[in-house]
Amino acid sequence: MWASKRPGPPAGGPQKKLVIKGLKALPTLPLSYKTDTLERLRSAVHAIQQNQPTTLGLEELYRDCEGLCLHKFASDVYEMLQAELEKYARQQLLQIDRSPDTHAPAAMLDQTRKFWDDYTQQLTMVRCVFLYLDRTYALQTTNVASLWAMGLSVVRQHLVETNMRSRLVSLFINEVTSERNGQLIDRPSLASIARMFIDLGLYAQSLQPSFIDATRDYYRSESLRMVNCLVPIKQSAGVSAEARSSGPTDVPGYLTHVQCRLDEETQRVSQYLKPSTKSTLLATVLAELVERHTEKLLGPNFDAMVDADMVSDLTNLYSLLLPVDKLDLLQQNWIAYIKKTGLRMMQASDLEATLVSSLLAFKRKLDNILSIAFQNNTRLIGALREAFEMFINTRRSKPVQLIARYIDQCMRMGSRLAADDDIDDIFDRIIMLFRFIQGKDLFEAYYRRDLAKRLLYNKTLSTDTERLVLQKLKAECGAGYTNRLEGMLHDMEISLELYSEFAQAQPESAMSDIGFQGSVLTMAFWPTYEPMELVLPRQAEEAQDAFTKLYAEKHKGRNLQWQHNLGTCLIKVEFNEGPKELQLSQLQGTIMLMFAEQDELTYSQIQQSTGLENSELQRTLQSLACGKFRVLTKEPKGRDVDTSDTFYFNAKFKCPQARVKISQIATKEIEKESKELEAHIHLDRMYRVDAALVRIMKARKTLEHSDLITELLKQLDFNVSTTEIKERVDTLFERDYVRRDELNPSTYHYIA
Amino acid sequence: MAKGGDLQTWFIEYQDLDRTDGRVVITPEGFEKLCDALEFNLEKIEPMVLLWKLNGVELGTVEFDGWESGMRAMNVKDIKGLKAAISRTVQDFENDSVLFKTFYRKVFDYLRPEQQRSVSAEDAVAVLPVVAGNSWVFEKFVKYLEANSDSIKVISRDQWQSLLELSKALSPDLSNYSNEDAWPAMFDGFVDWAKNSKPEAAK
Repeated sequence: MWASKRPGPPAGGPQKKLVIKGLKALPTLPLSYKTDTLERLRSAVHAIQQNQPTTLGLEELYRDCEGLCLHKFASDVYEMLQAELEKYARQQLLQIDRSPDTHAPAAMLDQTRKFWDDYTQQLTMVRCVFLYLDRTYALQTTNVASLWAMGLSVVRQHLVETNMRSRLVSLFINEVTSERNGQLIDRPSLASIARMFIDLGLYAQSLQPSFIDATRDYYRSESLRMVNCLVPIKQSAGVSAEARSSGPTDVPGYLTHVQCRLDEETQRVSQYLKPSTKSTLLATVLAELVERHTEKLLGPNFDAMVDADMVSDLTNLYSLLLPVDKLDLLQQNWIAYIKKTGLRMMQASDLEATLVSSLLAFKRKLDNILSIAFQNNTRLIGALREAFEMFINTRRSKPVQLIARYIDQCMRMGSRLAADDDIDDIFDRIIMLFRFIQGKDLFEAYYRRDLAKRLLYNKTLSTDTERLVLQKLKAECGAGYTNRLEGMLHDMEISLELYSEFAQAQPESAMSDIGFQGSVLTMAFWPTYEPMELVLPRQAEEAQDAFTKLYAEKHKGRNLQWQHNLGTCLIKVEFNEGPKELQLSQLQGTIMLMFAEQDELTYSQIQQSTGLENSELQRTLQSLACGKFRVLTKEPKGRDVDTSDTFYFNAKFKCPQARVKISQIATKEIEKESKELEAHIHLDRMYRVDAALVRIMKARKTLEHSDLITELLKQLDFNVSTTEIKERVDTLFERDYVRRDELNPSTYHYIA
Repeated sequence: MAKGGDLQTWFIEYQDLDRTDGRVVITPEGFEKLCDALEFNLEKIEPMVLLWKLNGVELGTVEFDGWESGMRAMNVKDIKGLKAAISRTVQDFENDSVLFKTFYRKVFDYLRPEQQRSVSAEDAVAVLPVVAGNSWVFEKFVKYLEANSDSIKVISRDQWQSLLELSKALSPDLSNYSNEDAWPAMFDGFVDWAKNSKPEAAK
């Protein structure tokens, strides 16, 4: 449709010609163009500044500006603008400045804010109008700032040249202080002022530093005031926020207060400060409130908090000390507290009964604090270990003995453990204590002795639990440590199998009088027992012989040595009151059986019959005739047994229970046993010292005395004094293993 | 006259001729006689030095070989010479500590019964004052042994030898002794005892 139309002469009529002539002269601007236009623009600016509509439309004004710029009058426009803005700003600000400080100081802030809001709005408008100027002249000319920047610098200059800036800053800070003191203030207003300062580039220069300084001063005096009247810790749970700054408080209260302040300041920043201020601000607060007074917050207050398990307050403490890098101090207090409390426990008068349970409770408490309040800080965990190792070993072998005994009590019938206790957990904790003690070889000896008693007298609660504990000990100390103990358990198992074999093998008649069960103990595993001579009652001896025969057939080449002091028996005795079952040791049983035939026997008769030596015999008779359950009586009466005494069967013996256990061992015996054990271990250790010394000298050939000691102590896991070491070295001289150096007598040479 | 002949003749004067085992040896009786001839006081150091110089095998016992080589070493032909040589040696002890040390160590072997490795405390108490002269450490040590005669029964070689070192090293106020040093363990007890008994001791 369109294509067919071709330009051509119009249809009909003669052609008209259009002639274009050039101008004769260049068009010129009207002379007053610049001044008029500038004037128009100026009044427009005024109108904007007075929040009034401009007489001319904005579009026109835009064109005016553009026109002036195109005609190369840009700089004039710029200058005019600058002058007008300056004049206006100065005028406004001076007016605000004049208002006195004294009443309604916040008013000045408010007015400034209002000015700023208006000013920035106006400036935006101005910029829109003079956009062309901004985009061309301002942009392209060096040293000429953009309109926006220019507008700001005008204000900034004024503030800086007069003291208005400092006035504003101090008013700002006064407001902050009031808010810190608990009053409500106009936050949005402060936010605007802050923004103004930021925009003007005065924030980092003036506002922030003064703010930080004021913060420092404020908290310095607050902390001094509060810390100087700190009271000892009250045990009240939870300190309310209102308690702050009012009346004396204790350390937990203070810590809570500090947390509150920190929260407050954080909020403050988000509400009306620049976010970058936050880190400096919080650091300042912490420095004044916490770092300055750390010692006062620790010390006895710390001890009291740990004592009372004030976990949430300790959490506070930790989180406050962490950023100010005072954990070293915390660690010192932590160690000191543990050592002090621990040492006190070790010196307690009722040590025997309570030590292990107190230690377990203590460790549990500390672990709790570590994990919750101290976030399992590795150094504090290490410090705990160090402190425990230090105090627990101040009583030489006592902890070893008591821990072994504690475990023994857990394992026995009538155990101290409750049915629903987490056995695994309990033993884990005990092993943790075990880890700290020195002299684990002594522990093994005690444990072995206790285990032997449990197994032989059938006191074990559960073989599974026994195995469980051995597993844990093995995990802690290595396989070699529990060798003998495991061997003992194994022996008991084998013995059970052996017993069923034996019982089956016996002809009916032989076993009709008595029941007999033998256990075979591998000598290497079990504690050493003194062999004892005893003449057994006939039936017992027959059974014993039968057992020995059976065993010899089964295991050729093995020798059995009967341990009479380990055996037990159950004897049914007819008293006046009725029959009773007496649970006795083999020695006691043998003697009692003698009274089956006779009512009266002298000491010497008994001795001759049984073949017992004096100390054993006296002890046994004492347990039967002078103890709690007197199945025999003695003439003359008395607690001690003499070789001239006579003994009578006590038919009148009364007792509510049908079965009576008469124990053989007196407490003196137990102590004596312990002493022997320790002496044995001591001897053992000396041999190990010898072996270690020889080993070291053989390897090093020549060694200085002090170096030898150092090397030795590294290899031993128990404590040994320098005197003891020197005594061992003396024996090495005797045996020609080493000699002294001729020139330097404190150097040793190995003699190959 | 052959030197060897002289020495042999001289030896025979003191030799134990009643022996049936064929050993050629001077026994304590003869030795005492020799000391008499030399006018040596048996309570003093000279007899011990004599024994040493003559390469004695045990207390009061000198074999001919030792006699011969000892006399030759001292370049001595007669009693007078022998007496002078021994006296000279005793004097030399003052200045030559190495010499004295060698002698002192040998004394231990003389006191030691043949099968044993140590010397009885009793013997040590008897001999140390003779041998060690007026060293205050030895004096005190002897007192210590006497005070603890029921617990300390023997002195080992190392203790004996170290005692000499101790006498040179220990300060009169006992302040420079430390249990941490390499002294034999017994000395720890000795110094402790000495510290506690100080007020009564001389020096």
